[in-house]
Amino acid sequence: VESNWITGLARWLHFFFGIMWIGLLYYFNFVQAQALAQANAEGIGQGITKYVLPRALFFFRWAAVITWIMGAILLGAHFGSAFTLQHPYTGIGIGAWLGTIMLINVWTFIWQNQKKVLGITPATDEEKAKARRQAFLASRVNTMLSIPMLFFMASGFSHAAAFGLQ
Amino acid sequence: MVKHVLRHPVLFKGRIIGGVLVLKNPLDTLTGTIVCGLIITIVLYVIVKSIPVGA
Repeated sequence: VESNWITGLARWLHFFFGIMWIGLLYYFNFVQAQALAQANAEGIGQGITKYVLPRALFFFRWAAVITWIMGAILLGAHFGSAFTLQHPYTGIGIGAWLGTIMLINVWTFIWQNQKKVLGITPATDEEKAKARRQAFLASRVNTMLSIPMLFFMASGFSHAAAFGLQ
Repeated sequence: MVKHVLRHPVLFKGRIIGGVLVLKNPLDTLTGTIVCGLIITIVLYVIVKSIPVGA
């Protein structure tokens, strides 16, 4: 019973923080990138970069960490089997690997470059421009990887009958 | 056919500059990003399905 409680709570929190993480990722890629380009053209982009971006990045990067930890708790004793792609954890294992790569991407390429863009880390204008491009591409890579990640997370067990993945 | 694919407006937006084919990064567009994600999904699905049970 205790184990069920832990699994249930972990699954609930994994979904909650996963939605927060990927929701903000999709906000950055589907909304903010285009909005910021237009706002910058009108000279009002600072409203987004000063007031919205730091808050969004805070919840984004920490939601990523909590999502991963809750996923690891959820895998429990099968953690090793999933990450070594053992049957019947191959499908969820691929999802777990993609999620892990995305988490590393958040804390290395996206956040480290955004710190330069936001002025948290000192950088020249040239370095900021380079960091902005790298952060953008890293964010797009995560959006791209989120598509197979969600497929394998969702189909690993619950849709095994439909897709034959286990 | 190859020429058509290389000039695909979503995936590549290739341009020949100085005799060199310069491809646009597909991640610069949302459509290109989603198409790449779907391609990776299919490739991984095929790989996972090809792994024999018990391997």
